[in-house]
Amino acid sequence: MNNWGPSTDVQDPALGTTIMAVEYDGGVVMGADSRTSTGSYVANRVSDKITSVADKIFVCRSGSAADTQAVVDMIRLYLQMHSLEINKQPEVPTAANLLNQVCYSNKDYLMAGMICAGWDERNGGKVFSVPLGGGIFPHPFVLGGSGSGYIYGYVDSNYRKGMSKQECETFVQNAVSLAMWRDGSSGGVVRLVTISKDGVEKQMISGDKLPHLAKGWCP
Amino acid sequence: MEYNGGCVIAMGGKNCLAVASDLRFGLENFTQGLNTPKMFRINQKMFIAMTGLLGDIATLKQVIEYKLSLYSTKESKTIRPLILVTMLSLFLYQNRFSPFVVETIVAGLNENEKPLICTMDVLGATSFSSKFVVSGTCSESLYGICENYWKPGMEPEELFKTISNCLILGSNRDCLSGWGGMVHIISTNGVETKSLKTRMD
Repeated sequence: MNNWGPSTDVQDPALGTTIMAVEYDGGVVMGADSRTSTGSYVANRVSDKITSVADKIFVCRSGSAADTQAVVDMIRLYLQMHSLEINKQPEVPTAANLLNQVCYSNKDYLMAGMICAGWDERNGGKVFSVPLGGGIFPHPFVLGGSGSGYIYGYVDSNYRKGMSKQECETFVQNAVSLAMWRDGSSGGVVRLVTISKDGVEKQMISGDKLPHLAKGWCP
Repeated sequence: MEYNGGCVIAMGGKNCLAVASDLRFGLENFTQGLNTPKMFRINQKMFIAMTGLLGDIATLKQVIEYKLSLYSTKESKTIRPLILVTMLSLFLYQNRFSPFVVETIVAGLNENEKPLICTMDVLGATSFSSKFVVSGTCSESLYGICENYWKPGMEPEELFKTISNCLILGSNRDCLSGWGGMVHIISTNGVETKSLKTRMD
């Protein structure tokens, strides 16, 4: 890390957190843990990393808390103005491209890895990854943050195209809790946001209600 | 010191004492194992607990066992807590310029049943306390927490509850500690060991 750059509240450059978003048949499910760490101290154990930028478009934030909050605030403003101009709800690819433009042009100054997902009329449920340095990558599912490394195996072997809403929520909840189990910089509660034609549903699953997937070997 | 993580508390009560540690074996952010307590039993009445680099903790434990078995052969008696502290402190200072990266806590009951607890830094500088000592990545938090909850003259039951609460509170706010806990309560009746159910994140 250089000493003229932005001050970060994550020492670990792999962005201490676990975030993911998955498309299902009819919308998207976004999930995140709730830990914000300053070095090894847990500064906030109930943070909300899934922030709305429009009625049906949300962004999962990982990396520097200050950078991601500032970027998301800017995107929210641009999307509001844009939606007035087109006289419609904004679309998910628009939001993701705006994120990309901000992150790419300021890549030297920002430490922000984000996942943009939501539902719109024309495209249905869509998930885009906007990693460190910018770029925009559409995928059926995206994982991010330091905890994501521990769950690629689980996600690769359990993801199916066209899951139902319930199956997808269970899938995301299980994946995030597995990451929290192993990653030191992820923890707290699991936050889920389900976005579909019918609206936005937010859930919080606290530690004691999480599935204990390792019970086969750890009581 | 922050590579493996972990935390340890030792508290003194009325003719008893308790030592508690978390169970995490970590490699920076990654949690490799969930059953690595950082406390080691010396004899009926004494424990050593260490935080810091787990490799050095394991080595130091073996060095201490070696020195103790030599001591008990030569002196034909079991070692007293204060003598162990002095021995350890001298040994750590011998590595003044390439220290063991551990912070040690010695906790033992004297012959008069009074608890002796002491903490040492990487170079063996001792710091005795009649109340409690803490060590680990969340030691700053633990100092505040223990200061609040400790009171004099606690019996083993109450001491167990207090030390467990303090350990859980401290490690819940630390990314590098937690994933289970273990407490040893040492009193005139012997040593009782209990496991704590904690958050596993």
